[in-house]
Amino acid sequence: MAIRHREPGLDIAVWSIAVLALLVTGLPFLYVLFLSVSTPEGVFFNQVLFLPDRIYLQSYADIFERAAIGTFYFNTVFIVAIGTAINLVMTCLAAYPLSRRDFRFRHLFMGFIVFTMFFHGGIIPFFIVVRSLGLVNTRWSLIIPFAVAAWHIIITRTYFQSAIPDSLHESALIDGASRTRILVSIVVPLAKPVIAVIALWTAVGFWNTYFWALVFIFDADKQPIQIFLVKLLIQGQGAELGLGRAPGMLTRNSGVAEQMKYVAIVVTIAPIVAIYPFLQRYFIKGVMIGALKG
Amino acid sequence: MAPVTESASVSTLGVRVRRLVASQGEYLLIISPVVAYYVVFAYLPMWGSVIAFKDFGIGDTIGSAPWVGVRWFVEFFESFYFWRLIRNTLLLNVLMLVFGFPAPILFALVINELRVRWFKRSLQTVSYLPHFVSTVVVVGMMYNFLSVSHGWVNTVFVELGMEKINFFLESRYFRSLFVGSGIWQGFGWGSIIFIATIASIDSELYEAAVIDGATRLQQMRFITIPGIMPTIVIILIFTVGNMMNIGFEKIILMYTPATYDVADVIQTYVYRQGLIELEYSFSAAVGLFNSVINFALLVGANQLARRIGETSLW
Repeated sequence: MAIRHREPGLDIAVWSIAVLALLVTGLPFLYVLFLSVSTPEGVFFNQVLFLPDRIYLQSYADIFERAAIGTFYFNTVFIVAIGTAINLVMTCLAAYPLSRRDFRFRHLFMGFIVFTMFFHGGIIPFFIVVRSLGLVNTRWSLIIPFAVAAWHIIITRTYFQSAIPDSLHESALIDGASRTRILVSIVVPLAKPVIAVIALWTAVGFWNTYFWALVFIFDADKQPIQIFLVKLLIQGQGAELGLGRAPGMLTRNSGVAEQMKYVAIVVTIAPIVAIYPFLQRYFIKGVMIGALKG
Repeated sequence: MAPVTESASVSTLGVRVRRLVASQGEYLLIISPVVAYYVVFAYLPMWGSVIAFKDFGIGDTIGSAPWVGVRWFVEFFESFYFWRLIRNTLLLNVLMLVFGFPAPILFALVINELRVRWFKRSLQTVSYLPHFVSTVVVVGMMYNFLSVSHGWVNTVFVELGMEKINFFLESRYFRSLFVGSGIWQGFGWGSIIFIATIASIDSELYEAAVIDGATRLQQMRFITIPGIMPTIVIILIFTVGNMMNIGFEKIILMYTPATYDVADVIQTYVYRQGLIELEYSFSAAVGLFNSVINFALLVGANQLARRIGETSLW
């Protein structure tokens, strides 16, 4: 490795940008966490500037009891679980034939799929199609219309091509295995890394989805967690969610909705933040696989 | 002679079809659910965008609605909103491009210069985090932090003896909030690809440069940046190609009627007119206009990249 000279000007610039980046991305999360464990009064009367006034965890129990966040949570878990499973199956079903050189129509189908990345019918015709299928106002409206992503197919196909030797495929064919059998017993087990990446991306995507939930689902008992957040944080509907802020009540209740906002954020991002440091390398690997051939 | 040739060709055709089914049938069967998905959820809506040329009422089907030609397009082009939407869409995207695009590149260069491993690692981990957080949470956090009654920003303003600012009700703050939060969400994650590309640059180049007396800044300028240039071009094509789409889901959460003058973009207008006002045909026309421009941008950007260098998407 080359000797690195001290260059004070450059070092100062590099370190200031690095520290600034760390603070700007890290502090907001820390702040939200601190306010979520502060007392509702402290938050309501703006007494908590950064560190919690004292540790108060009752709000975490309250948000499940009073605001029924549990139903929203369940809907999200349902959508994430089923949606991810369907996506994985569909991605493999598309990627496998497209990765095979003896599949004569692979260019045709590839073009058929890739074209959809570049040209969309638009949100209105898409909405009309989903509505005419009777999916509107069901949890399935967030799953079936998003059953597979072209980008994931491309990445998985590239991986299948590079990781599964032709010879393996041919000898399996000679042994009398069907292509479905090869896909299930040879290709998928060998492609676990890319499947893990796709699973993670898809799961995070479903967890965070809100726009189509806003459009498709009207009944509160079918809405995902992100809609709960929209109502509480952005539309200011704390009262409708059971987090009373009745006028004139300047004691505990007034502060509840205000502080609940921070609790709700923590509860929503906690699963992602909890798994993410452990899975970080898979996410990054995915970016690399995707970059191999765009 | 003629009948013989005919029957021969028929039989070869039959054999060919049978052979084709034998060799390709299973592949076709495997891919069929995915094809069905794309037919229904991608190509059917594409065909459905013909309602842009029809008068699609509540009870109509896409086929049955009467044709009205380019009426909705004319109405849109002549409306008060047209230029405002074009301006906002372009401006927000150009601002995002100008400020948001260099951020991950700069960050990758900074990461590359850091030599304290644990710090480098933690910085990377923390900087990727905003990418995994939903748009709702990002906008929600902004709402909380900037709230007039309880946000810490305004609390600090009051402590400093300044006036409170209602950030979300004043047009002049919208663009900064939109672009700033966009950079916040994207700079860390966007840097991964550049960091990896930098790592793949031949280290002999740096060693040779050091022998020639190059400073680290010069190494950055003459080795690292040229080394990641092809990646920069590719990512730029992607960004430009998606220009007309990016961010409308965030804008819907961020804007209020008070800030429509700077915040309303084509896609948010489509959403409001179509899914709230239920003007299906009119908003489909606006949406189609958007899709066509988007497609042209992507093709154009790719042609340009092809001419400039060897890097292109197809």
